[in-house]
Amino acid sequence: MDILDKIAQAVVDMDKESVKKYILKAIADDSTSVTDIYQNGLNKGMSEVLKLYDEKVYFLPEVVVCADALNEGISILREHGNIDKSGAIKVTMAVVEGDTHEIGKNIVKIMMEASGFDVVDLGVNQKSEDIVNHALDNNSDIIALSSMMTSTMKNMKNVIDDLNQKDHSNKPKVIIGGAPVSENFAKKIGADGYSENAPKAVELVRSVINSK
Amino acid sequence: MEKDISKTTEIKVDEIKIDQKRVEQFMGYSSRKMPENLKEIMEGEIEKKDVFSPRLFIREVDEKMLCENGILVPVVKKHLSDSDRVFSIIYTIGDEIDLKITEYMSSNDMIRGMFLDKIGVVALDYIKSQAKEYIEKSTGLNIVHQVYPGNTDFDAEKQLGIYGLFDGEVNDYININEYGQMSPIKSVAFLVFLR
Repeated sequence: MDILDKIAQAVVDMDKESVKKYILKAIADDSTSVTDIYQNGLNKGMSEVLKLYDEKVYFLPEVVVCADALNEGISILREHGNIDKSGAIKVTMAVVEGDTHEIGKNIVKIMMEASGFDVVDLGVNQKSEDIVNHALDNNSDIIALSSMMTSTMKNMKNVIDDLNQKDHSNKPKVIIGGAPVSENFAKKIGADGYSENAPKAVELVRSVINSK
Repeated sequence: MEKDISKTTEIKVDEIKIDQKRVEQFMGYSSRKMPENLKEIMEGEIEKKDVFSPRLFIREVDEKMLCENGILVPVVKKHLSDSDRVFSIIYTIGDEIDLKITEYMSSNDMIRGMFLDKIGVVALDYIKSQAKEYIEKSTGLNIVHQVYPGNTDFDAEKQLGIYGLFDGEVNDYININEYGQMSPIKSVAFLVFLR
């Protein structure tokens, strides 16, 4: 097993210490770049983790522990160079106006980053125009919105309406999630997709991008 | 309990006890055993009692007050006709828990944050049961109906109405925005109907 496979396996095994150990070893070997470690070690491991989740071998908390191990690895990589994310799917993420629940959004963010996406997290209680402007200015492929309250989920539609009014050649797709949100609600407001949890949000992003 | 609908009462919350099984269920482990490495993390987080700053307030209310606060909707009217007394309840476990969760999430320890979030939910349930027990004991009546914002017939914005029933007397501990979201996030408000 080469060092990148060992890193991938340590992610699958939820083994933070081994992730750190093998990454430092890989960095010490000049032939392995930081981006290579990220893509072919950490991300490869996360792909396997998501497969295990899909097969119901891992539950969400186990996926989260794997993501923690992976992110520990990313922290080390960042100390040793820049991870090249050119070509990565760009996601602008936010919790809509009026809502400050951020745990679900944070889990999705970390899971998306762990899967190699380039994520910008605008945070909670974000105005529609700020979300749309940021996504367009940064050429985002995806706007990922979260709301945990029935009283604020209607603000997701404002984002979609505001985006539709913009004259832009390559508009991002909009996906939504959060406790009160459903597939039907997503269709009703014209969203491009809905996900019930973080691992599925990763799959959703890929399928929405592939259908673009 | 003397009937005094003009007053908000703060109830002292006993030491919060966390039901480990409930945390496991909230984490998704009802049909399958939680792996040992996760169990260890959970137990460690359950022991951290310093993240709770509980506050619990109750106030007896009447039809007029419910009407003035815009929550005399059909489901409330129906329950009113079927009960002798109504109380509004509001409680929180404070901000510290969410600050700790944020700290965990930003230091590659999302799993601890996730556990702490569920522990917070279980803690809120514990306070709720204390509130209900206190009201039932004090009045000698039984709770026959409960109405929560977010129910299908009582939308989340109605939380503003329940909050309003306390006439600003809880503002030092709990606040609310125009959408009905309370701060600290881990705060709950609801109505109980007794007979």
